[in-house]
Amino acid sequence: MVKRRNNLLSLFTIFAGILAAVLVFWGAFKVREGVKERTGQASNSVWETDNKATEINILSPDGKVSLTLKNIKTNDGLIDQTLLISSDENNLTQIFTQNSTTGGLLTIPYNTFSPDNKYFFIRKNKADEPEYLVMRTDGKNLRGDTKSVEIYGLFKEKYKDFKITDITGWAGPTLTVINTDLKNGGAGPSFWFDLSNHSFIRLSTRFN
Amino acid sequence: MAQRRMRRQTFIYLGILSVLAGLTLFVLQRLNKKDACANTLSCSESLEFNVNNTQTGLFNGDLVNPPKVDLSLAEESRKVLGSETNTDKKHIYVDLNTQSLKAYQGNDLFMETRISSGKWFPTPTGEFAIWKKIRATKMSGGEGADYYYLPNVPYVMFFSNPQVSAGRGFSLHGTYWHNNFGHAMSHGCVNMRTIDAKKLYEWVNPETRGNDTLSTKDDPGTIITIYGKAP
Repeated sequence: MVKRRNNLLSLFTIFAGILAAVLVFWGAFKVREGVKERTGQASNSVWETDNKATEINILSPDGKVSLTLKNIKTNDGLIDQTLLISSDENNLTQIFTQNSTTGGLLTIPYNTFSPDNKYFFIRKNKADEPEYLVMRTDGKNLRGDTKSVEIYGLFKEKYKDFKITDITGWAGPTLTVINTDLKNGGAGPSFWFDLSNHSFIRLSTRFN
Repeated sequence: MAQRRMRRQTFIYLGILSVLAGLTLFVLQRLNKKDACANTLSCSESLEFNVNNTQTGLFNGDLVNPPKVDLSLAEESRKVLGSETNTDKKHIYVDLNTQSLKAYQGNDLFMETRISSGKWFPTPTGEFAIWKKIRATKMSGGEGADYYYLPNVPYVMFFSNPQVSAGRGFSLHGTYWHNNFGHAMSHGCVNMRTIDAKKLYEWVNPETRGNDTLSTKDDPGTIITIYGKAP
């Protein structure tokens, strides 16, 4: 009887010890589950039936620079879009202009400016998949002879299993935050695109 | 026989000791997490007004240039604002689900904007009061790839309640090192665009007096309600 009780007590003690150890490690290495990522643009054109021109203006987070997107509807149904930068140093500089059908319109994301206001990114809403263009706010060439870099094209070449769902903003002066889904379905990882060397850094945590 | 009994007893005592040790470690770890400072390295230093216009910051492994703080401009800003005419109560709501902030005076919406709450450490939820606001300070924390050092963090509004003590340094403040508002990014504080933090700083109570303003019985801090869970 005593022997059985002692055996039970030993077993209970071992079990309790293992449970306590598991609880400690669980508390230390708890992993957060990903949730469905939100997408959305901060600014969209709203067309008035009588107006042929609209203008959208986004201020940098420090209020020193503003990006203006002017949309002018032409008589043949196309939309001329012009991007302008205005800052304390420059009155108004035209950075980019394009003619487009309504399927390829530019929109300005909420977090368009890099934290140091040196760069900005815009989204081009094409029929099949969007493009994300990064440019300099002073209008100079970004690299060599090119004024911009298109992130989605570079990403597709490198990561065939993922598709970009959104580029949400900047994690640093040269790091854009990219969220992805798996092409087969399900949430994918987040990446940084490093503008300084055009490389992608896959992240262990997702920036929902 | 006696040896076997002794061995069994030793085994039992060791087992009990390991259970107690495990439980103690578990409780200590939970307590540590619960009382951690928002800025783990600069903890109490971050609570004091500090300006350094010569240092460079570091965030996500990148060097960042802090904004230069010109204290003479603060005085001009206060002169322009003058005294308020609306005396209704002010209240700030921070929704962690949508990563947004709304500030009301009575029923009037004063401000609505996006924020970035805690990613590496959760922003505490509940009802808080602003106990101190400072024009700028330095913040430092994290470790390894997550280490950050940020001088001249602007427009800092510290909040606390009986569960989250003032000394832990949670605050709403301006942000010059990232621009990903609408998404959790911080180590517990509520990051705001600098233009939004400035506007809120000049509006909240206690009324700004110099670069370092404490709330008082006659001028208590604005109430902040933080709710929800960051995605």
